[in-house]
Amino acid sequence: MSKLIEQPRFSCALAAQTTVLAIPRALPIVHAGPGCASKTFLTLSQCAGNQGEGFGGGGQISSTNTGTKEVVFGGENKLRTLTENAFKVLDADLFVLLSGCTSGIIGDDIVSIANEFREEGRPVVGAETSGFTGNNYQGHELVVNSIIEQFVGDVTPKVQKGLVNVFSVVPNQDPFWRGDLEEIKRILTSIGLKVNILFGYESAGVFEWQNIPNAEFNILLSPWIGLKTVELLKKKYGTPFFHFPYLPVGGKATSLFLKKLAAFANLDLEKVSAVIKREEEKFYSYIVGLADFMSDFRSNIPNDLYLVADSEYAIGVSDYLVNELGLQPKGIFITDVPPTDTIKEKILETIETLGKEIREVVYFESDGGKIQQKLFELIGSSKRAVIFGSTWEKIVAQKNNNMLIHLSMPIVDDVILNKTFTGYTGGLKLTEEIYSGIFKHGTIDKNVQVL
Amino acid sequence: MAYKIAIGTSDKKNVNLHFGEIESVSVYEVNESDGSYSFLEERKITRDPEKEECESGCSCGSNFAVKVGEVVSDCTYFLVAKIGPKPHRLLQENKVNCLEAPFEIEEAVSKLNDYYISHKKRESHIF
Repeated sequence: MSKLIEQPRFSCALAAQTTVLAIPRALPIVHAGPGCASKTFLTLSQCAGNQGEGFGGGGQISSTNTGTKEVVFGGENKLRTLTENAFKVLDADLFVLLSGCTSGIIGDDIVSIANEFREEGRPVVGAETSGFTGNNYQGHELVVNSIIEQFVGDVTPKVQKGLVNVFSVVPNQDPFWRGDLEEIKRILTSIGLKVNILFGYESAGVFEWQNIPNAEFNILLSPWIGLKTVELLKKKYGTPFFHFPYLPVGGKATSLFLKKLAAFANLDLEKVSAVIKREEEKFYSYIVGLADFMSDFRSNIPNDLYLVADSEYAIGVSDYLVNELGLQPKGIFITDVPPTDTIKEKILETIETLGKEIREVVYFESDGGKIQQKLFELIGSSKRAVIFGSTWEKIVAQKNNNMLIHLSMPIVDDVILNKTFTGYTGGLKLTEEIYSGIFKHGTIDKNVQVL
Repeated sequence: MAYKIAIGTSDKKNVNLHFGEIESVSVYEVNESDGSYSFLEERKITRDPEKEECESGCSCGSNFAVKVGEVVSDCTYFLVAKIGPKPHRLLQENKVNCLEAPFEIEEAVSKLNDYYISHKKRESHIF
């Protein structure tokens, strides 16, 4: 039996419509009841730092609006007509049909409808993303794998040296996905790789997807999301993959990522080392510049780290905050539900390598109510806490006037454009956020003379 | 057990009448266990726009929807090829379960019966 959760931090599999929208010039066609597409849009766009509709999102998403008629007599014909008409009025390079709960229960076969269109030479893919199949992390994988299976298809790879595909964050579920992907692409390009980033404004769209089989190897930057995709690509096209189990944040982790990548792919070590040296020099010069500030405000800088995010972000960010900035981890809440215990153990193993003190305070919890309760309990009357989390954590932060930094979904009271907490740039941004926070959030001691 | 359904049809083969076109409805009896169905009767619906005032707000000039609702009140489902949202809502208020089913009667009844059985099972499960 499934359970009810309070203050959700993710949505259902159908919310993978944002995954489709994140591919330039790809559009979803939703085969679900009225309201499904618009509600998932609100959850994953407005509540992810007010990201807006973009190209063909939000109110423009085509939906069959299935009702009683479709439940009783089947909705395949309606979907066929809708898709047919979508071609007349919508300008896109790829359409992805997504099923919702009702169409999944009544058994409408959207994959074969997509096949019919593809036989006519039209770019249509079908993905069974009924809400009950899982959350949107799993929905994301489903959509990506469906596009590879159906649209990219069985081709003979023509391997291009230095070409890589990157699979990492879930668009919009990670509110900083656009900035994160740009930073990942920047770093990888700097060491001489050609990057298929696949999502976001730096992607070449459908062309990049068709180029997936030609990659020399794939890069997976995530604990478990996308693992099925890279395994599929290994099976289908024989492309090996490099798995780095979290998003690297800051100098130490990003350099480690690059070194491991260079060893995996036999890259030109001299070139990679030169890039690392250059980036680190810049990064640590900024950090050294912080020393004055830190000594001036040492009694006002928050020390206790509380973090609520999915495994993708929680591991990398807490690694940077604890191992580089020296914060004291007190509670790390991982909100995505790893589908198997093996994955959960692997996540814990990764955290163990980053430090015992982090491992000791890790909790797997998707119920926001329980997280809130535990946070209240752990923080107590402390005024030295910095909470990384979502808008849900506002109440906890406000209680003792502690600092809240937006890191995970849902974020409704912030606007996010190309901000990133990943890589070298992201590490600096995160540092800025924390230390600017002491002025913005009013945690500064009144006795301290600022001017 | 058998139950009755009303159908808007002009040829007794297809559900082909729009709700607004209906002058009579054909009532069928469906046998739940095997999905077989038989024609029972034709029920006339008289229109008298001059004497009637519209209650549906659909500017049709009559309380047609209510009248049809009364005629088919003993039927579990009422199938038509198409119906607008306002008369549909009015029928619902009069506890008439109206569905759009622009198919052959045979196909429509077989799917409807499947739905009827699963719906009944679910209801007995809930209550």
